[in-house]
Amino acid sequence: MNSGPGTPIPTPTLAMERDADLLAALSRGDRHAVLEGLMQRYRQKVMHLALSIVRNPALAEDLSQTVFVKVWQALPKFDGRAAISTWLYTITRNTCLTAVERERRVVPLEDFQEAADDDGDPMVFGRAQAGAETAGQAAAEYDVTKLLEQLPEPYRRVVVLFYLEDRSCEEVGELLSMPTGTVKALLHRGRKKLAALAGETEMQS
Amino acid sequence: MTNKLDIETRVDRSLQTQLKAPRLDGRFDSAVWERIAAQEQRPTNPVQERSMSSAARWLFVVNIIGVAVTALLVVIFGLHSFTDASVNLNLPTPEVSAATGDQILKIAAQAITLVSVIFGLLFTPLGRRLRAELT
Repeated sequence: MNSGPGTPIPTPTLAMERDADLLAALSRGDRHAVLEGLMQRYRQKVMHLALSIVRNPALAEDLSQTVFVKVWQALPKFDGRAAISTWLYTITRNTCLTAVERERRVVPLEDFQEAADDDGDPMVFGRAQAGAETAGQAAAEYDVTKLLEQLPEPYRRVVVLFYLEDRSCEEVGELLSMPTGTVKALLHRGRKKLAALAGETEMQS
Repeated sequence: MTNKLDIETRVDRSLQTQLKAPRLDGRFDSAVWERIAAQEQRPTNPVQERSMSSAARWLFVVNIIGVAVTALLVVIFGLHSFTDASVNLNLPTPEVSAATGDQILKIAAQAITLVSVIFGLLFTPLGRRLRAELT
């Protein structure tokens, strides 16, 4: 950790206290332990955040790995001013947004299905994922992949993360560096828009 | 007609059941460690490093020449403007006929062009590889 004599001591936040052991390991120079700890604690969250941005499970996993490789390289420069999780999420967002920008990747619905099938993973964002549902339930449900395709950013990202993160606005706020109030507002409007889109779909069919 | 509240409830239920991410486990961590190991074992490109340092050397030499010429000009014109000291710049010029002058200019232009092209080619990937093999 690079905290020189003139560096003000940061006020410890809840996230900082949670990762105090990782910061201690970092100050000992044990980069290996820090990365191990970070992966154990945050790999799923990093994956969720990546998935909410790129919306392709295989690409999201690949980018999540890239994030941790970047973290490994940047750890000696981490100054501990922000919580390590905040730093990690910033790297994740930047990595994913850069990837999206560079490739201008538009994932068609077919590719979405193929990507999930190729990996042997359960289908993500699709009706087939809910295997135990009855025929009646399936009929009563909407295809969220199609609905989300039509939902603009940032609503889509917030909605996706909200459901991936067990419906916690606080977690979504932390992942996106947004106040919880903003997350709630975006979520409320996003759901209304989705309902409107679902209504339109029903009217057409 | 299906009412709004019902649609919202169904959308919420659909999102709950369909939005799932693959669970990551130890295999993910292993893949990250493998990528880190591969990156750290990857040898640095000696050809690129050498060409970088040679480019830096060229730049340094050109800069030194530029600074020296500028300093010389400043000194000469400073002396001219602020002191009575006159600098004698009457250098002997060779007597050359117009035809010979044209011929010299033509040859010089061709030589400069050739040198410039070769210099440019030296910094292409092929040129770098050739220089690395020759040095």
